[in-house]
Amino acid sequence: MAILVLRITIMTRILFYICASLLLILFTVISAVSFGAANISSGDVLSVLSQGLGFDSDVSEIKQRIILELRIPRFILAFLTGAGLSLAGAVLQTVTRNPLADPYLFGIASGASFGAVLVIASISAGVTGMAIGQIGITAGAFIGAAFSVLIVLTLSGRRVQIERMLLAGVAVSFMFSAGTSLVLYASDPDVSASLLFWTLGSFTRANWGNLLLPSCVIIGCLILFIGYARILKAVLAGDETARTLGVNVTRLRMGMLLLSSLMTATLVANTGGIGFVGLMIPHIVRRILHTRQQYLLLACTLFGGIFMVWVDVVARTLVENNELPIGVITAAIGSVFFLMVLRKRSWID
Amino acid sequence: MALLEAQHLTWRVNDLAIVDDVSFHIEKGQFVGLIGPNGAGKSSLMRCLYRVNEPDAGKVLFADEDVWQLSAKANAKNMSVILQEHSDHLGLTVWDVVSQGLTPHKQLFQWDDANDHALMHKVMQQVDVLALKKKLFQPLSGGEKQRVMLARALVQNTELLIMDEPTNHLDVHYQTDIMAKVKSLNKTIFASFHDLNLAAAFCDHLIVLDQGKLVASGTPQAVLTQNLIADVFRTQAIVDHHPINGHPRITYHYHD
Repeated sequence: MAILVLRITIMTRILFYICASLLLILFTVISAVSFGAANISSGDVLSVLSQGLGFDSDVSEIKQRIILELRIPRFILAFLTGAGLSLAGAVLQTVTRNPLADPYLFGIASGASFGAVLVIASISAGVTGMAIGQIGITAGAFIGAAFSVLIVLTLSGRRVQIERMLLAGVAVSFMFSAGTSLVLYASDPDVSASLLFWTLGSFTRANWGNLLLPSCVIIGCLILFIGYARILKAVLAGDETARTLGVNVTRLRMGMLLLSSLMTATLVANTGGIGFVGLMIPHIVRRILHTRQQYLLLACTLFGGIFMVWVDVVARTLVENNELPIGVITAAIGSVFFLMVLRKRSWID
Repeated sequence: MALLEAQHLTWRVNDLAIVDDVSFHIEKGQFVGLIGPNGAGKSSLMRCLYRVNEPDAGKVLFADEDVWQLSAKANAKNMSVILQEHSDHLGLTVWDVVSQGLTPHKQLFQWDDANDHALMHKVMQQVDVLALKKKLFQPLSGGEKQRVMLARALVQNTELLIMDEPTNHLDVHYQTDIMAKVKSLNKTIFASFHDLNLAAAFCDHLIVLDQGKLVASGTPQAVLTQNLIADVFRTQAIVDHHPINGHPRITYHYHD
């Protein structure tokens, strides 16, 4: 009887979290999509969305096109980016047991940025054809990220030791950042201006066509990470204890690093470099929710996505008729956040 | 039948034998203590047993199976381990830390079920940590942390429990508290000790290691002699009987 009550309690709690998350996403999409240069209300957004359920909509065609072809894809890309980077940060923080780990610390994002910038600069300079396009940029980003992971893993020793891994990551990050700066310096001034804006992060390239790959990668990785949640939690006990709990720590750490790279590269190819999200969101979620590993991953995905959507709203509306780079806003919020964290040491102890 | 057997175990670092041709066995239900001075190779020997240090020579058998031929997961179903130092567990609660013990018994995508929760409740009550279940692990006291580690090991539900200096950093109350709890489990235990009186009080059998070699093995009464303590620990001591429990009692000469 007690077991049955416990089972019902667990199921009710899970159902509550699912409903609350869906409502939160619905609220975010309706309110965030209404912000922007064109005058669109939350009612318009709700009306256009309800068309999909067979209801009639009296919203003008131009507004419908803005909502469906510009703002919704942008919302989805922003959500995927925040979700993916937060998820990668949460996983990397877990497998390295380092609360400061994120895709940037291991050089993954720098490698991906370098690869993508190199491909974009080559297209602009006519070295490669325009046909290479989005897939070429994604491939360039992934090759750059994979290269950085390869260097980090090679330098991390046979058992992929955390300390060596972090030091190698910092070195690789600087190396690829230098490479990106060199490409920017060597490019045509017009090209380097647009490249610079892109490296600081932007969702302007969002359209339905380039959402499929990041959606598949983020959802696929999320499912895998949730499957591995128990093993990820065991790694928090330390490498030696995790081994005695039956975990192959070396293989797990390599696998998680590669999956995080895949997610980061896919996102960087679409949005450029956006820092601090992968560091900040898992930190906050872990601190506030004290939740279990599988719920932590889901919570990071949800709150990371919502956070990024609102950062995008700020980027689009803070300065009239101008759009701020996303990375500038996340870095500003992130640095203030870390100053606050340092003032209150218990957050990092 | 021996539950665990070390056969001519040798483990080297750069040609230096840290564990040097060590052989012994542990019977089912025995409480075996490992003692020896600092640097004797106690932790290194234990790591060979629980599959962290791969031996350069020799074998470790659990129920006649070579542990190094088993997967990490299969081995984790045979033996649980409590180390002397603990990770911070990055924001995990006591409940989460105890649930780590279920890891080797679960597949990917397999969550804790109501039976697991019932087991965890029972074990946490047994070692007196149920009241701490929602607290964060990291700020707990040393004694509380060690009891949580014991609860995790019990949830892992293995025949053999290995403990590397389980009473390190604990005060006298927590030392006797944790040892009494361990002793009451009626499991097969292999534990290393620095405190010879504690080893004498709780162990059925002692193994003495010095410079990587096994130098003595037997009951506490047979092993803990004045000569052995003088030779291995380089300390003068008087060995007599504990007035209440009757086991050997060691009194050290602190001044010449």
